[in-house]
Amino acid sequence: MTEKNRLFTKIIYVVIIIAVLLPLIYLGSPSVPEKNDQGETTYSGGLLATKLRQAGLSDTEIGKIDPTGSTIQLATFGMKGIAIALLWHQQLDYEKKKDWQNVIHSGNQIMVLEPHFVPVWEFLGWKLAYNASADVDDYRERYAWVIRGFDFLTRGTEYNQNSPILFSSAGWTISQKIGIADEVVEYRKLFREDDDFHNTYHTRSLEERDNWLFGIPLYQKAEKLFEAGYSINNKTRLVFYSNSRMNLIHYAEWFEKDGKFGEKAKEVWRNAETHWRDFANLEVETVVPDRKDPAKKRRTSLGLAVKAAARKAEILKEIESMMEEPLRDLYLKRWKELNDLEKASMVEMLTSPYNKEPEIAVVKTRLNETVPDWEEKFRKERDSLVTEEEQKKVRAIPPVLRTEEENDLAQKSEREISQAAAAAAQKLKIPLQEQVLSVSKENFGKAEDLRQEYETLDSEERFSNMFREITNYEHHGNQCRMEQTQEAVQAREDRYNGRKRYFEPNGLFDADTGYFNAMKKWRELIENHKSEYDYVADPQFRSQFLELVEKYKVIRDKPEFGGFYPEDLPLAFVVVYECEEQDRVRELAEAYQFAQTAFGNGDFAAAERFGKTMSSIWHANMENREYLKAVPVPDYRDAVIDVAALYIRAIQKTGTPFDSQYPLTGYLNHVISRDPLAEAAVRKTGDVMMENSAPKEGYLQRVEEAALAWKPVLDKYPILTVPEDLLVDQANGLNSSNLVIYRNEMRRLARLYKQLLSRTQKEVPEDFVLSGFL
Amino acid sequence: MIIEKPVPSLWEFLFVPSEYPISFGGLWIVVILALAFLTALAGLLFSILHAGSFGKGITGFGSNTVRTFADLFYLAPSRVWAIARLAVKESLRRRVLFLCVVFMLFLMFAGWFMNADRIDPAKQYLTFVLSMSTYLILLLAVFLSAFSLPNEIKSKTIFTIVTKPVRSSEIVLGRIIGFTIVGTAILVFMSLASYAFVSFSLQHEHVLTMEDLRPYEGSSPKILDSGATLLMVGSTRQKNNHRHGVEVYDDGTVLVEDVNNHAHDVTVISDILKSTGKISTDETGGLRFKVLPSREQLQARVPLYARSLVFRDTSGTDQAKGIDVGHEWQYRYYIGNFDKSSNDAGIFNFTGVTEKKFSDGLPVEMTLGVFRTYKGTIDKPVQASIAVRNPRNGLHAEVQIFHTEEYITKSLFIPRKISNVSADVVQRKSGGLETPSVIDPSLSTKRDFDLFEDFVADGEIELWIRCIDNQQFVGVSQFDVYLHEADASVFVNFFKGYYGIWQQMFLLLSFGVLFSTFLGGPVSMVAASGIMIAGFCKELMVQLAVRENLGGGPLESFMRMLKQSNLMEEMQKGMTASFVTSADYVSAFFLMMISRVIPPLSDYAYYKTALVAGFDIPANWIFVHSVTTFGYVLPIFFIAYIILSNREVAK
Repeated sequence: MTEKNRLFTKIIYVVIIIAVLLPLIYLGSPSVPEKNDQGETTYSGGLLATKLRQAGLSDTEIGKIDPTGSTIQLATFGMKGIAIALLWHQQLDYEKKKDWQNVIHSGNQIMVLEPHFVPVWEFLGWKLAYNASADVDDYRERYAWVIRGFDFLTRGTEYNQNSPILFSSAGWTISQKIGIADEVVEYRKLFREDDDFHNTYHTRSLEERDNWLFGIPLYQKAEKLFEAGYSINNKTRLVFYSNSRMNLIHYAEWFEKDGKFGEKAKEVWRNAETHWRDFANLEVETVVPDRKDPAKKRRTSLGLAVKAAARKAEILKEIESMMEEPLRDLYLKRWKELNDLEKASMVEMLTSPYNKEPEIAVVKTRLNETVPDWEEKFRKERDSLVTEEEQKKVRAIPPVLRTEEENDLAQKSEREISQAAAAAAQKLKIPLQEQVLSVSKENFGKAEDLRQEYETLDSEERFSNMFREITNYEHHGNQCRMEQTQEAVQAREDRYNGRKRYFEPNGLFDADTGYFNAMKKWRELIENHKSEYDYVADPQFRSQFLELVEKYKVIRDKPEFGGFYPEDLPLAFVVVYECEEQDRVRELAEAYQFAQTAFGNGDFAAAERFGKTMSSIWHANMENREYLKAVPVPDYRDAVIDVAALYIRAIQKTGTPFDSQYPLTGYLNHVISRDPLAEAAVRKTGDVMMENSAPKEGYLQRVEEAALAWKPVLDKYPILTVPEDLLVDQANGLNSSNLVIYRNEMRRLARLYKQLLSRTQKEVPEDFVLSGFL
Repeated sequence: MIIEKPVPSLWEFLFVPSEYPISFGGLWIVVILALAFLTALAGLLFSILHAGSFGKGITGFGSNTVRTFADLFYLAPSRVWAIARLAVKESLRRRVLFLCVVFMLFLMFAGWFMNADRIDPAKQYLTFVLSMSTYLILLLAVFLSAFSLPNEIKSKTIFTIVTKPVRSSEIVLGRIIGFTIVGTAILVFMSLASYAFVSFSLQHEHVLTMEDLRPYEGSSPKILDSGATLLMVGSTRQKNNHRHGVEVYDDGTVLVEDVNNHAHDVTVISDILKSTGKISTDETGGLRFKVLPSREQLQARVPLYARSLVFRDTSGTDQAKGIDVGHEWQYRYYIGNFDKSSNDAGIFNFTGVTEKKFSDGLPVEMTLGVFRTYKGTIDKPVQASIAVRNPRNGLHAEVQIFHTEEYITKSLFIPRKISNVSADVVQRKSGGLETPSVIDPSLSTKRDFDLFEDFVADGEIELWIRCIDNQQFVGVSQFDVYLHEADASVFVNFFKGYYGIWQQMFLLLSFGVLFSTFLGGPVSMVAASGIMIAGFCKELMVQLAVRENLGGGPLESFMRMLKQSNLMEEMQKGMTASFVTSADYVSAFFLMMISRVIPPLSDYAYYKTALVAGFDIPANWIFVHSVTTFGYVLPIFFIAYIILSNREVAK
C-alpha cells in the first residue's frame, strides 16, 4: 500500500468514527440538571436520558446514586446478571445452612449490583426479619434480626425513593413483626430501650418509641407515593390504606396494655376512631375493571355501602308508595295461592330467627295473628311429605344421634323438602322488577329509573361491603367507640392491675378481685350501651369477654380457691349466650329427650348408643371451652350430668362394661365436689363417722338418714357405682379423686350400717340404698 | 467451624480407602498407570501409522520412549533455572507488577462498600481480602501462562531457545517455575498488604465514662473468685454499630462483654486505686477509663476435635445418627429430652487428651443448635448439660448445666479437680454389646474426682451432651464441640491460608502452560479459564453429572426454558422426552469424566472455612492438599512435555 493510500484509509476511518459518534452522542449523552431564570430545574441530555426521565427510571429520580455500585457494575464487564445469579445461588446455600451473616453480606452485594430492583429488597428484608429471626433461639437475637430486616428495607427506600411498596413493607415489618409476635411484650420493651435504633432514626420522644406509632409515617409516605402515581402492583388498595389506621388502633390497644388509662387512653382511642371513620370517606380506585368501561377501574369507598343501603331503602319505600296495591297484600295473596304442602315445607324458613326476608316476615306475622298453632300443623304436614317408612323412622331421630347411614337417608328426604320449600319461597317473592310493573302507569317511568338506580346501588353496596369485611371495618369502628366508654377503660384497668398482682407474691386474692371487677365493668358496659350496640351478639366481642372468663378460671383453679367459682359470675350470661349460639347444644337437648324416651320404652341398647354419642359431643364442646367449666351454667351442667346418668343406667341394663375412656368422667369428678347434694351427704356421713366412737341414742337412725342422703346423689351420679379402677380422668390420666372419695365414704357408711345391724342380729335390707357398696 | 467434608490425615488419604474401594494414593497410581498405558498405546499406533510398517513403527516408538525418559533423566537444573529466569523477565516486561497497584486500589476503596459496623466484621474483611487475592492472582496465572509460549511461537523467538541444547522438559518446567516465582512474589505482597489492611480496619476503640455507668443494684452482691465485688454496670459508647456491656469491680477489674467475637481491655485511672488497690463507691464519681483497642477479633484457635460422635437414643443404645428435626441441611442431628429420665445424649469421643496439653482442665468450646417443640418461657434459653465419662470403666459424672446459645461459640471449662458431684457407672450399648461389660459400683461412691485419674483412659475421654429441658432439642455435629488446645499465631495462620491460594495459582499455571504447548494464546486462555471456573464449580458439576438437580440436564433445561415450564413439572412422556433424557445421560457421562479430571479448586479454599472462622489451619490439611496439588502437576508436566517435544517447533 502506498503512503497516499494509507493516509486516505486513515481519513476514511476518522470520518466513519465521527459519523458513528454523532448519533451516539445524541442517544447517550447524560442528563444534566440546570436551573432556569425562574429557579426551576430542567434537564438536558440525550434521547436515552430523556426517555429514562419520562419513565421515572433515571437514577436521580429513583433514588440515591451510589458510586460504589456503579463502579462494581462496571467492573463486572456487563456480566452483572451472571454475578447476581451466582450471588443468589450462593445466598440460597447460605440460607440453607442458616449462615445468616453471609445472607446479609451476599444480600448487600446483590443490592450493590442491582439497587433498583424493588422485589429483591422486599424479599431479602422479609427473609431477615421473619426467617432469620425465627431461626434463632434467644429472643434478644431474634429482635436484632427483625431490626436488621427493617434496616435493610429502609436502605432500600434510599435507593428507591419512589417505591410505595418498600415504604409499606418497612412499615409493616416494624409494626407487625414486633406487634403480633409471641414475644410482643419482650420485643416492645427492647424496642423502647433501643437507644441506638432511635438515635439512628431520630425518634423524637420516649412516647414515640412504640412500634405501632413508628410505622405510621412509613405507611403515610407509601400512601403519598401511591397517590402521586407510583404503583403498588396488585395490592388491595383499601387494605393498603387501612394499614396506617389500623396502627392507630393497635397503638391504642397497647397503650392500655402498657398500663396507661384514664382520659389519655380515651383520647388515644378517640384519635383512632376519628381516623378510622374518616377512612370510610376515602374513595379509591380498585384493581377490578369497571363493567361499563373495562379500560377503567372501579372506584369505591368503605362508607359507600352505608350510603347505598340507606338510599336503597328509600327507593324501596318510594316504589312501594307508587304501587297500585300494597306490597303486604301482594305477599299475602301469593301466600294464599300456595298449596298446603308448599306452605308446610316452608316451616323452617318461617321459624328461623336469621331469615329477614320481608315476605317471610309478613306471612309470619299474619300466621301468628290468625293461626296460633301453625308451627305444629306445618311440621306435621311437612313430615307427611315423607312417604318412605325408613326415611320417616330416621327423621324421627335427632340429627346428633343419627349414624352416618341414617344421616344420609334423612338428608335425602330433607333435600326434597328443602327443594320444595325453595320453590315455594320463590313463588312468594316479588322481585323489584315485578313491583315496578305493578305501579300506576303515570309513575312507571319514574319507578323504572328508581329500579335501575337501585340495581346500581346494590352492586356498589355489595362491592363496598366486600372491602368492609376484608378490613373488618364495622368491628374496628365499634371497638374504638366501645373503648372510649368509662366502663371499658375501667375494665381494662382492673384487669391490668389484677394481672400485675397475679405475678407478684401474695397477690392472688387481689388478682381475683381485679378480674372479677373487670367482668363487672364489662357487664355494666354491655347493659348500659345495649341500645347503641349489642356487644354480646357480636362474636368478636363475645370472644373477648369469654377470654376474660377463661383467665379468671386460671386464678380460680389455684389451690387457694380450691377450684370454686362464684355463682354470681358477672359474665355468666355471656357464656349462656355463647352456648345457645351453638346449634349442637339445642340439638343435644332435643336428643336427650329422645334418648330418655327410648330408655323409658325399654330400648336400652339404643339409649346406650345415644348416651355415648351425646357424651362425646358434650365432651368435645367443653374441650374447647374452658369457660364452660368455670361458669356454673346450671342448665348445661345439669344437661351433662343427665346425659352421663342416662348412659350409665343404659349400660347397667345392657350389661356393657363401663369404659375407662369414658369422656365425661373428668367433668363429673369436677362438678360432684361442688354439688350441694353431695356436700350434704358427705357432711352427714362425716358426722356419723365421728360419732361412732361414742354413739348416742338414735345413732342407727342417724346412720340410716346419712345413707338416705346418698340416694339423690346416686340417682344423679350413677357413675358412683362404677369401680374405682375405671374412674380415670382422661385429662390427666389419674383416678378421679372426688368420685373415689365419695365411693369410699359410701363404702364406709354401708359397712358401719351392717356392723350396727349385726350387733342386733339383723340383716341389711335388700332395698338398702348403699347395698351395692357392701 | 462447619466441616462438611472432613479432611483425612495424610496416611489415611494415601493408604486408606474412603469413598472409593481404594485409597486416593492408590487411585492416583492406577490413573497414572492407565494414562501412561493409553499414552503409550496411542504413541505406538501413531508411530506404526507414521512409519508405514509394523517393525519400523515399533522401532520408532522404542527410540522415542528412550529419548523421552532420557530427557527426563538428564534434566539440568541450570537450564531449568535459566528458562525460569527468562520467564520472570518476560513477566516483568509485561508489567505484571501492576497487579499490586490494582490490589492496593481495591484495598483503598474497599471501605466504600465494607463497613466495620456490620456484624462480625472480621469475617467480612478476611473474606474480602482472600477473595480479592484469589481472583486477581488466578487471573494473572491464566493470562501469564496461556499467552507466553504461543506468543513466542508466533513471534518466532522460540527458535532462540529451541536451537540451543534445551530439552522440552526443561522449557516446560522452567516456565512453570518462572511464572510460579512471579506469582509467589505478588502473592506475598498481597498477603502482607491484606494482613495490614484487615488488622488496621478492625482496630477500634470505644469511649467509656462515668455517664455510661450506673451503680449495681442487684438483690445479691456479685463477687469474683478474686474477692472483688461488683460496683457498677453499664456499656461503652457505640462504635462501629456496636457497644460492649461493662462490669466494674472494686479492685479495678473491668469485665467487658464479648460482642461480634471480640472484647477490649479497659484500665481504670484512679489515684485511690493506685494507692489503696480498691475503688470505693464514694470515689466512683472521679473515675476515668481507658478502653484499649479491640483484641481477639482475629484468632487462630487450635481445636482438638472428637474422633467420633455417636448418639444415644431413649433406650440407651448407640446410634450413628440422632434425631432429624426436618431441616433441609442435615449437618446437625438433634438430642431430645422426652422425660425426666431421658437417656438421650450426644457422645463425643476425644483421643490425645493428655495432662501436658490440658494440665488445668478441659476448655470446651461448642456451637450448638436448638430446636424447640414449644415456645416455653421466652426469656429462658434451653438448658443442656455436659458430662464426662471414662470409656474403659464407664464412670460418668455430670459436671455442668449450661444455657445454650445458638450461633455463638460457647466456652465451658471442666476443671482438673471436679468436686462434689455424684457419679455413676453408665454402660453403652452398641451392636448388642455393652461397655463396660462388668460394672464396678465402688467407682461411683466418690464425690471428688481428678479428671485425668478418673475419667481419662490412655488419653481417651468421652464428653456427653444432653438436653435438660423437656420436649426440647439440642443439635450437634462432630465438629461442633472441641477442646481448645492452644492459640496459634494469627500471622502464621494467615500465611497458611495464602498457601492455599498459592496452590490454586500453581495448578492453574501448570494447566496454562500445558494448554499453551498445543493451543494458541486466546484459546489457551479460554481453556485455562474454563479449568478455573470448572474447578470452583466442581461440586455443582458433579451434582449435574449424577442428576441430583431438578430440571434435568442441558437439553432438558433448554427445552424447559423454551416452554417456560418450571423445574417441578414433569416432562410429558413421549419420543421427545425419551430423546432428551437419553441425550442428557450422554452429556452427564461426559460431565462426570471431565469433573474427575478437573482439580477441586474450591477444596483448596480451606482458608474460608478455617481462617475466617478463626481456627488454625491444621497441618494435615496442608499436607493432603499439597499432595493433591503435586498429584495433578506431575502428570500435567509430563503431558506438556510430551506434546511440546512432539511439536514441529521444538524439533
